[in-house]
Amino acid sequence: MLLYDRAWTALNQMLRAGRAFSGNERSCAFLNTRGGRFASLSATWNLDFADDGRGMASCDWDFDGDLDIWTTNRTGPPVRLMRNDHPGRQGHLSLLLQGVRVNRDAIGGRVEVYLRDEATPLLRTRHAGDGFLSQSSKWLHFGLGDANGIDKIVVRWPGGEAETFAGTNANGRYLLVEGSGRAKQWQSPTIRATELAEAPFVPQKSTEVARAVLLRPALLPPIEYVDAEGARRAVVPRDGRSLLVNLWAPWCKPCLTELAAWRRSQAELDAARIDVLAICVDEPSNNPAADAAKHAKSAEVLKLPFAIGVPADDLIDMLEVFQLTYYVRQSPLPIPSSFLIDPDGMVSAIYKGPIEPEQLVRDAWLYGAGTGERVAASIPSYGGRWIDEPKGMGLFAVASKLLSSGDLESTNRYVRHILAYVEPKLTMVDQDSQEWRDLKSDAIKCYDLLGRMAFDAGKMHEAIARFEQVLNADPQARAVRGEIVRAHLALNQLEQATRHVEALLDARRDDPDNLLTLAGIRLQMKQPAEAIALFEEALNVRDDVQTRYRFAAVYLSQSMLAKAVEQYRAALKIQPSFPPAANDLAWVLATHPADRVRNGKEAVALARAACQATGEKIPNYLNTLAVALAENGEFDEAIDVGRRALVLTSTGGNDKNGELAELIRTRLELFEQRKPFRDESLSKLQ
Amino acid sequence: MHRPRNCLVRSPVAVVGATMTILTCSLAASCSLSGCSADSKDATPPTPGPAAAVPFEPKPGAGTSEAPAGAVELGTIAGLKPRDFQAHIKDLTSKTDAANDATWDTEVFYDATSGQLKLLGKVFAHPAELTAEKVAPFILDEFECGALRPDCDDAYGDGALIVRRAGIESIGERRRGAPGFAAALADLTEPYRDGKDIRWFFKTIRVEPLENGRVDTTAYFEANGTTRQGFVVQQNATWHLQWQRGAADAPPKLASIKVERYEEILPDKSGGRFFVEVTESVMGGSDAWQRQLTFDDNHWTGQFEASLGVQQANHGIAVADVNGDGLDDVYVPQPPGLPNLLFIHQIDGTAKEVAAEAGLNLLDVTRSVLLLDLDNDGDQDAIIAVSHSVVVFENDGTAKFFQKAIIDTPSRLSSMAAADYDNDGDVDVYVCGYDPITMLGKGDVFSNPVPYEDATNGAPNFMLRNDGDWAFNDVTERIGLNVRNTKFTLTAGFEDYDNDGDQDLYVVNDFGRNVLFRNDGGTFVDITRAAKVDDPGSGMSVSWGDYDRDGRMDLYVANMFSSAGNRIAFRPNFKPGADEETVGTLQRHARGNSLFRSLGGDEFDDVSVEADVTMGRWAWASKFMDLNNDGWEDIYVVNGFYSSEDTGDL
Repeated sequence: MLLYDRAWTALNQMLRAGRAFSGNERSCAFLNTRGGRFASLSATWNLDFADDGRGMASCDWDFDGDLDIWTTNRTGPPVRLMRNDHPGRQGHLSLLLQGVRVNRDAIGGRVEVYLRDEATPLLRTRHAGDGFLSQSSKWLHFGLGDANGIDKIVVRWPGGEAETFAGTNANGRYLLVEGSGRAKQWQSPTIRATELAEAPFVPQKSTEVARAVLLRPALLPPIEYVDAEGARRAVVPRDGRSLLVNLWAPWCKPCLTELAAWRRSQAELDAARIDVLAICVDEPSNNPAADAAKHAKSAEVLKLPFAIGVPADDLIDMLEVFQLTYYVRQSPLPIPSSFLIDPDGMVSAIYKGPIEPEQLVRDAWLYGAGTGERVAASIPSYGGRWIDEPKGMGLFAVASKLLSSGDLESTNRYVRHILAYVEPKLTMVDQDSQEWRDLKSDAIKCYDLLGRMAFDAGKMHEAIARFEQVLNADPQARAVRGEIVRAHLALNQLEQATRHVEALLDARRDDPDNLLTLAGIRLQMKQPAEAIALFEEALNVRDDVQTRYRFAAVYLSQSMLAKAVEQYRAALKIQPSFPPAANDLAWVLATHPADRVRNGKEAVALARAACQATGEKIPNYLNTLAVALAENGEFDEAIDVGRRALVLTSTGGNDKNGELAELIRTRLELFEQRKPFRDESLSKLQ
Repeated sequence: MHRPRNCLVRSPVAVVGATMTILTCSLAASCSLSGCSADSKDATPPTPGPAAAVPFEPKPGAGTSEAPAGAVELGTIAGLKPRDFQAHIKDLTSKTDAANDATWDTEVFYDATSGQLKLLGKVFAHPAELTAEKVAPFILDEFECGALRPDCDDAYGDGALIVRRAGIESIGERRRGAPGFAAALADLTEPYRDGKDIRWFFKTIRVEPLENGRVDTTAYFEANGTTRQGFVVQQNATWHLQWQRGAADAPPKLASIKVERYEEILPDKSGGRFFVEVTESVMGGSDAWQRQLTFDDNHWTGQFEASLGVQQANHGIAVADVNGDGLDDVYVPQPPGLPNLLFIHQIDGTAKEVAAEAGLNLLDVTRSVLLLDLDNDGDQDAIIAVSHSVVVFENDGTAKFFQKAIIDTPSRLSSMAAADYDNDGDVDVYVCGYDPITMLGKGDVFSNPVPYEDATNGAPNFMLRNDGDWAFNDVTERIGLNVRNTKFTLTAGFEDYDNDGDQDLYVVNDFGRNVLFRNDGGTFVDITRAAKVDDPGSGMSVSWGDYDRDGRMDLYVANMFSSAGNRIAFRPNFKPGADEETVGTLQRHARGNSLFRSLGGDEFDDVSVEADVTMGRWAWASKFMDLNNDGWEDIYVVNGFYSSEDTGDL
């Protein structure tokens, strides 16, 4: 994974864990105080809500002649109506357009209200959709201030045709029908919403108690517990029955209440073919067997007819990762918590907090149900229908979550566990079914991840084998070919790398990155002419500073100085102060042994630009500037700059800086003798 | 010589990784700067055992699919160690982490100053008890400041309130030491001294270390307090604060305060209330209010299986009269798994929820909806953006809706805007696509835009031409709109800005530059560069309006203002090695909202700073509205990204 991708992943995780990010920001209202200025007054207007606002629409809900505001919010009320009770006594006008030849709502229509004694009209356009995600009332609202009256109204219907309407008065509501030329008065209802009581929002308290029916059941990682006899046992359902794994503790009242309720409904649970495994997560001693026996004894006292155990190894941790995958909001697994595992060994539902036996029975019957039924069981029963029903997450989801915690070992183990389940199934399931496609997609993700993990561990042969499995399953997979290329390159298998890059280029020739990769391979294969041709091809697709700069490097490696200089100049033409190119070109112009190549003045300008653009923080660039200044005869400044470069080399803690410091010192000696520096290595270049 | 490396295997990490800094730095600044590890409460081992036993009241319905009970207090697990899912971000946040890089100690210092200002704010909140002794611990003996409430001139009045402003020169009398500071604060609080709810807020936008342990900071200042008559006085200013660092762990102390810009909003004769919240009075009678609309996104994200896709709560709202009785009704899109709601406006101002009867109770995640007459038969039809599909419904005139078309797209959809772009007499619909549907992880909030400053890996937008008989055809390419069209578009707005009779289009993109398309008789031309309205930043919303009443439509664009971004991106050590243009763009990213004044034709002038409308925080919707009926367009901006506990910012 790229660092950048990982950063977004981590950001997501932080938000899901409830971290604030530019939160508690109070809404802003800006009052137009004329003369091109606004005053900020959301507190005065009582609009400074700290909720996370999202959408906004306006309308005069209570027909009192001013705009009320609807907003939607992430926190606070999902929807909020703020009634405008502005105490000012300024006039208003409300207009509704009706198109006849133009579209009926006259969307795009522009209204100009000419006020008496005012030169320019008030403008409003009938928009449909603005602000963000929202649409306001079709009534166009005009505040009239202290205007002395309305001269006329001009409507520019969509398309641009203008029509004048007369006969409107301040504080009125009118319907303007296209072609009628007369404003038709509209009577607002006599009962008004101004009577509605003020009602500041009171949120309901949320709860940790939650029930998630997995839209697609997911494979439980291999976990074990220790039973009352001290034996280690795998957490797996018995033949044809569901297993309810419950986490409890003897001091946890809701846990005991829940277990008691299940005991009372033992017959119903049994009829629904549910076994209960109650795993006690009380503070463990050093002896799990003794713990298990102790808890089994308390369960006996409580007359709990359930299997009792204590967690072995990473049981809790795995269940925790599992629940974090299936809930958006990340909070630690509470107790009681329960996991319903279906007869196939797949996790079917995750319960945080207590769960009623009746609900458990209903959920157990979901075994074998299609996604549609599972979706319906998963959401609250408030009605509604789906346009596109959700499909659920693949088997890979938990592996992905494990991976993002950096626990490569557990991830690897679980991914292999998934493959052991998926691979035989793929041979049994009908290839035309959605199930087969889902399984295949899971398998591909597993292969790909195992490949990337092998790659990162330096096991290139294994990586290539895994990536080839991805390609076998999905010959169209482009990204994985890129990985194969990288792996072959790491093994210095240039021929094989070439084959895959060429396959990529056969499918899409105009991919500059692949062209450049192939160019790199050609260089390593000592085929510079081919490499140069590929660079030119890449530049035809994407002419940017980076490519130009790298092209220059290729020319340098071929001792073609003039061509390299050409590329530096081309790079600088695209971005005049691109520091690496400016620096390198400055070096050539300052130090080349041949008089005809050197140009001290230009070298100084370029080197200065490179230094300034990087905040004079890069010792190498300052070194170039010093050398350029010396070439230009400005030895005092050259010495000064050289010394600053020297200081910088001592702060970075980079080994290379030591070498650079040595070089700078010898050059400073030259400058003190009023001598410029010549880079003899350049004279060998063409 | 700096020998160029033969770097032919692409190494994008360094390039894009660094551009995340501006985003991650605001994150780093909003949490503790100790490397952004897990919350301290996560680090505290849970305390199990009998002592933690809690009262338990079984409640019917707990843990079922009905509305949850909420009263059960659950236990914690002894052996449960939180996994660190943030390991991967540490190398990024560490770029602005003083623990790793001493040059970013400005952020640590900023933290210390906000702590001090918060404590001082508690003194400020009780002006009647303000004494020199109480402010003394926060300042040096030699502290000095000018007037914190300088002499002002009236700048505006609308009969209800007065806006007053001070010029930069009106520093007033110099005040010294604790008695002087207490007196200056007393002057500042004078308009609401005997009132209540007195608060101040700071948003620090610059931190500049000086010599001898002195540090200059610049902050936006806001104070407000409610007078006895119930008027909320608001004071806005820019403060330059000079601090003296404390020894070891001691907090910094103030050496001086200089006020640069001051504005206050005072009551006029009538005073009185302005906006009043009435939502529950309107909607409270419906079942949906009790069971759904009194819970926020933080509740549903804790309840729903992640693959249902509840995230970020980007849901809009639409107002229109759907049953033809002359009263505006309101449609409320909801997160996935909750049905969208349709509230019909009753004559008494309340609203009745009828989405099921209307056939609009869709369960899919719904971002936006337009209610408008698509078939010109005199009623308001519906076009709804769910997930990645546009669903079109016909209204039979009585608020019964019938599904007529579904248009699937490859884009996770955002806003929509309608206009008759080809002037053929029916409205067409422009649909904004944010990111490709496959990009976002289940339950996640962010996709990963590349490159951050001007991302091009977003999803396409579509112009759906209304061809009658409920046929909507994608004409994006044909009419010139498939230009710079894979950006993370959040919204778009039509307006005939050049007054030539056809509808032009401004497209607002997150993570980068916006696009202005001029409509030339039915085909569109990208005119952004000439019009200078590309507005680099994280664009959120657009509103057109003639704010200066010169007869031309101006453009307001909301972005995300970041005080952390301001502090960090203007430091000389921000992104060493990057060129000025990149740094400038990233600085601009943190500036906030933009106001572009139309000069006629394709010419616009960026007047955001002079107009004083940039600080809209992390903005979402914004809109021109004349809220006090004085004939001039005001602006309202809602904002805030993810709230949890107090971030201590303005």
